[in-house]
Amino acid sequence: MNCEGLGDLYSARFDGELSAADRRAFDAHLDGCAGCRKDYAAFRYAVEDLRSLEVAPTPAADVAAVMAAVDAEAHSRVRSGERGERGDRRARSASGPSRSRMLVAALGGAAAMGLLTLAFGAWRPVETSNLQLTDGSGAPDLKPRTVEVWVPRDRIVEVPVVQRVEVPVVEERVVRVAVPVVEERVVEVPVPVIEERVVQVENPLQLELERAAAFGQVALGALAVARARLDEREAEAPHAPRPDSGPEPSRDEVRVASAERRDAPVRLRREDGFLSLTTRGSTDEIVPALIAMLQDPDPAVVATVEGKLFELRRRLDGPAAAEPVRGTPGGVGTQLKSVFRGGPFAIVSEPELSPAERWQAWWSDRSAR
Amino acid sequence: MPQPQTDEALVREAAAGARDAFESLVGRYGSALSSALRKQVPDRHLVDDLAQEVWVRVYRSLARFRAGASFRPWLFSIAFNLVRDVRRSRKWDERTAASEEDFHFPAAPGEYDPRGRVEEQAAIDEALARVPDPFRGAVHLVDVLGLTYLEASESLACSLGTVKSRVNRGRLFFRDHYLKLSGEPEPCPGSGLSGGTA
Repeated sequence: MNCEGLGDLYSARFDGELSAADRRAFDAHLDGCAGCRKDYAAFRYAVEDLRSLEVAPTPAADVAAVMAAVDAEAHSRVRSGERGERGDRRARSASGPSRSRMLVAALGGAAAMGLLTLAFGAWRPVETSNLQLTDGSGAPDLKPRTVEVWVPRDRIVEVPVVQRVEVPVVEERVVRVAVPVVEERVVEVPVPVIEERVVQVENPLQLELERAAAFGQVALGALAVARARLDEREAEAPHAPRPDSGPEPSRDEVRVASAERRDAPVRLRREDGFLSLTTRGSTDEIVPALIAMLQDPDPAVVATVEGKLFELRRRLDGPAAAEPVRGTPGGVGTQLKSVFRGGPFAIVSEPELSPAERWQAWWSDRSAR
Repeated sequence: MPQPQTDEALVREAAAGARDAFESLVGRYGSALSSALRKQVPDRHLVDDLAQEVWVRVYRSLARFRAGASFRPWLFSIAFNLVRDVRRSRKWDERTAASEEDFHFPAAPGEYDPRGRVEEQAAIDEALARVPDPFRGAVHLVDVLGLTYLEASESLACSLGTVKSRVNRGRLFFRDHYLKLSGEPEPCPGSGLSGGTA
């Protein structure tokens, strides 16, 4: 090595990236050349001093200014009703962060609610006129307003039991966004229940959801509207039915109608890219409801449900299926195998049976074990 | 004492909607981002605007942050992309034509933690501010902000070899200015800046 061009190697030497041979040659040159030795020393000291510069902590005011801009961006997205990426039904969400927290309240001793939600997105503003919010008698009694509907990113989320429910708070801002016409399908699938009861509450969150979860079905629209934190330590006795007269509830109030009655249906709600299914809770009832959903005309739903059934089957430690669970979108003739007969899911091989009949057959079979 | 969350863990939480996680990232890197932008854009008001725009872009892109990726180079790559866009735009011409000084991008007051070395820091900053583009940005990322060469190459959207070359030349420029400001003798004419690509 010579003086000419030695500077090109300064950083490599300084950073320890020269090969052993090159380092020896470099050092040997410095040993024999006072000018380069001094020059490299100046380089090294300068870079070490440069590295001693330390950026000061971010001032709180700067953080606040940035967060204000980010918050404005977040609200801007809500106002514009952005739908996020196109061409991907499974990820139909705002391109901001999705909020997908939802846990089921612990209900000491009572039957827990299993909530299956098929969803394809994140929080989206929806006019409540598109949601079925009822007073227990089935008649909508809330004036239209816009709330955010939670649409989890996961295709299917089975909410585990014995955990707290956390449902975020409704935003104060009311926005109006045009949304596609809501379809609703109700899959009438009988659910054996213990007692008949109607509970209507209007309080923000805790109890109604607990009671609803404990005693039967909860309309998903109300569940989506209900945003608050559940605290199982504050669980109290059920509320009395709300009087018919009275002012319209405020945005912070929640109306949840829960009904428990013999043979109460499992409700399947479908909105644009968003499906929800509520059952009374155990895998027994979820599976038949899923079976019923194999009749959904949407092949994506069928594929998702098949996957879920497959997963549940594995979780039940059933013997391996001779063939996977299959569904025919919109058609009949679905064959399934029963995990409770020593194989995978119940064999329901009668193509003429409706989903409700097939599920009843499943339930009967299950009960007879 | 609990370990602070990693950047990537904060990104995951922020992507899931945790505002405080995003705020933690802003607090953690706000100054470094502004410092990097100041080495690219002489107009301090524009720097503030750009910094906010970078964070908004980060927020928009949280869901697309790849698992396993590193946040720090991702943040700076967004910043440098924005700087490139701005430099190509009318906004640059309008806001910087009157204020831009060649090869002079000094720090803002309070940008660095002085730690009792005010005069020395002033000389360091002044010397760094005089390092020309594109070497200044590379040196600042690596030697001031502590990015690895790989992270710097990702941030600057150039090859590893290019970044290393830019850092070396930037350091040489820095040394020369620093020596002058410190009243030290000139470097040996045989070494120092030689030919080579940026």
